[in-house]
Amino acid sequence: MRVRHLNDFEIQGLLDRRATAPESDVPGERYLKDLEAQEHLDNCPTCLAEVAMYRRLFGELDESNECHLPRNFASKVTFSLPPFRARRTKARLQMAGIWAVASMVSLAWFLSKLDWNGIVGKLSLYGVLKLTALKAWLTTVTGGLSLPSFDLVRFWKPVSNFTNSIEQALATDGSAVGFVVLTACVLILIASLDNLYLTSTRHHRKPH
Amino acid sequence: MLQIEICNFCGLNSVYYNMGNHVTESARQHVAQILAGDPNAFKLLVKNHERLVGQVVFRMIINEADREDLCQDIFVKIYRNLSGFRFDSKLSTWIARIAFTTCLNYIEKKKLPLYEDTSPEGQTIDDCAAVNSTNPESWTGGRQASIKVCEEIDQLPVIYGTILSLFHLQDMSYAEISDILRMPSGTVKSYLFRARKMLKERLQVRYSMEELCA
Repeated sequence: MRVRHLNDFEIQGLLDRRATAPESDVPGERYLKDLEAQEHLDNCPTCLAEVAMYRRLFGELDESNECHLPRNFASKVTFSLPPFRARRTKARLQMAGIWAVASMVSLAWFLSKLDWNGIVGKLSLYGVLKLTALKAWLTTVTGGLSLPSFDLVRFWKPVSNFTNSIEQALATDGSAVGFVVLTACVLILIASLDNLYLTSTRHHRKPH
Repeated sequence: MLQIEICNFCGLNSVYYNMGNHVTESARQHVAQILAGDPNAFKLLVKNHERLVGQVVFRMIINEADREDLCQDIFVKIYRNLSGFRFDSKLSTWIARIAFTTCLNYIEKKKLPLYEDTSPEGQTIDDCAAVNSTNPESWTGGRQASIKVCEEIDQLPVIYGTILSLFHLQDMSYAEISDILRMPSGTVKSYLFRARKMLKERLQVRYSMEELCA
């Protein structure tokens, strides 16, 4: 006698019903057919192999998520919409204003803590003006064609004087704290302005 | 009838007023929040549905460069049309329908095939077998099996891939899929069965039977 094997659709239907509905929910006629199919499967290695393959395939299909959108996709989409973008811009500008004021206050505090006598005393502006390189450049600009000579030691001296005086000034009471506070305020100010116009340009470009 | 489900927006269990297919006080509140201009409510909607939209788009659109832009366009459309959502279906079904229609328009504009096999240069299953019989690749070895399945799904007709994604990855019923694709449930079921049969045959040809069953 020729055995009738289960076809692809019967196997898929059987597996779908087993995956989604408990046996009691399967309608009577269908339940009997499933029982028949199961009896056939118990004695037919060919169909059993097909069932195993479909089961494996279904498992892989359940795992086959290929969609990889960027992690910040939701923010990107939300703030590309004009009303939300306008709101965020306003909120960020308000925040930036607050931190700009905080930066000014901390800058004033920091400057008040510096030892200005020490700085002015050590900073030789006259030395800067006497720089050979600057003189040579001026000569070139005013018509002379002589190549500039560059005296690195003489150029560097006033700069190092200035940095030394800042270091000494920072060593005075409270000025280091003032410097740290100022730096923090400026960084937060930059952060609050960062990404203000995120993705806003995409929807304004010309259609293809 | 009262029913407890997971909220589409906040992910928490909420009491839903289930009137047949119909939605939910909680969803109405969230939609109202979005319409009132709350960016966080919309961001949450995007987060909760980006996977669904992504799966439809990634399955239907072959051109990788356009996929993310298209996902973004879909959410912009969703935002613009949200005031017209009448809660006569699940929000996810409505969103998936917009995603499907947008992709369909893209496909029509680019004159790409929707129901045809998208194998490169009209490659048939036999061609595929001929190529791979010289260089058989293990089903289980090397790359993950699901990646191989994804590659094969990409070769199926676009509509088959979409139905496979909605059924297997989004756990949608035939009724929901038929609502999204605007085709009868019977057709969806038939396409799903044909898609899986075709996929199985392609995998059988590309990889040996033993490797598939391993």
